Amino acid sequence: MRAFTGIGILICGLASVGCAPHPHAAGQIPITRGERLAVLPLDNLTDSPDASRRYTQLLFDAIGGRGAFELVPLTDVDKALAHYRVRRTDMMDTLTVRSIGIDLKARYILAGTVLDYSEPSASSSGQAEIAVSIRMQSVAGGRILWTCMDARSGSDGEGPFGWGVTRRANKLAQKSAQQIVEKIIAALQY
Amino acid sequence: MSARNRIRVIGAILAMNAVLLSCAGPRNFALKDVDWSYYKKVGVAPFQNVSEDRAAGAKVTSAFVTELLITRAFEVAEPGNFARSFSETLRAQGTNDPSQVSATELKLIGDKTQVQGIVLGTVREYRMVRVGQEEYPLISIDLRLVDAPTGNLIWMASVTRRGGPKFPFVSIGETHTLGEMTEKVCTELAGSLASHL
Repeated sequence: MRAFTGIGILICGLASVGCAPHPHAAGQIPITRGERLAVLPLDNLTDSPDASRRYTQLLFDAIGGRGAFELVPLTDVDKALAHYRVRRTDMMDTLTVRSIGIDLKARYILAGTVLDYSEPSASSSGQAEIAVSIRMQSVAGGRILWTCMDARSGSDGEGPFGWGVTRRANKLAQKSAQQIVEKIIAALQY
Repeated sequence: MSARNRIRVIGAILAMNAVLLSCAGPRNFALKDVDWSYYKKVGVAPFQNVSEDRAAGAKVTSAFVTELLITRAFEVAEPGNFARSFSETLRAQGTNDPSQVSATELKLIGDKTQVQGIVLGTVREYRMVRVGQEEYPLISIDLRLVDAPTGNLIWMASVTRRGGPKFPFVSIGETHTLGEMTEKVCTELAGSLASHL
């Protein structure tokens, strides 16, 4: 009996070590309350054409809901990116970041990449999956102040008999965006 | 051996096996007598992709840069600036293949972007594979850090991971998606590189 208990504790310990906390982030953001932030459309490396638009909107809403930043409207961001002919925000050099930031009167930009965004078809089994990498850059120096990686699958919270599996990518993305914003708020240094 | 002792031995072997599987880091080489404190700022070149997934190179590069920044071991060149300089130098040389970059070009890129080291990588595998009834991610990556002024190889690592079951009968600790596996592999590789500082 004791042997089984010992093995059980060991397995639980290993499982908890194996499950890295979501999301994985580092950095600190020196800020005064209400600074202007531009959320740039995330680059989309997935097969889902809507992934970037959906995740960017979720991130925008989650940040807006916390009131820590004054957000630049997404339509203004789109116009600025079109003006500077930026197609991929991860390929922007610091000069372009600065120019766009100045045009939008933003002190920081939030950019990143959607690496995965998928869900099983209605007829098949499986779970949703998303993965994003996000960074916050200062407009003035172009420095990356804070960065974060979040990859999760709908089976992360799976219980016995498949209970708790998330099959909708949007639901998973909403949770991810909210937790990323929690990390951003925790990194702010007022 | 009694039945109880037999169960204990089997349990211990399974647990040890799981520990070894979960703790095995990437295989890596590091040049001896290197002054690692010299490498204050590094640039990460877009990884070469020889896998079936056409976006795998960009995905793994993005994840690795993020994980390297999270370690705070090095200052990392702003990815947009560095990628642009790297691509421009390759284009001037008349190639798109990062593996073809010479020591002279590396020095040029290093001078232009003010980095002391350049990380070059290759994504070899990036796909889902079937194991029994389930599909699991399979990722294989090679990375190397080269000294920007000389082009000398300083550090190299290789990692291949498959997200199959770690324990018989129970599914804890499994990695189900390519995104999660990318994060894990890049954390390992960035940690391995950062551990030299």
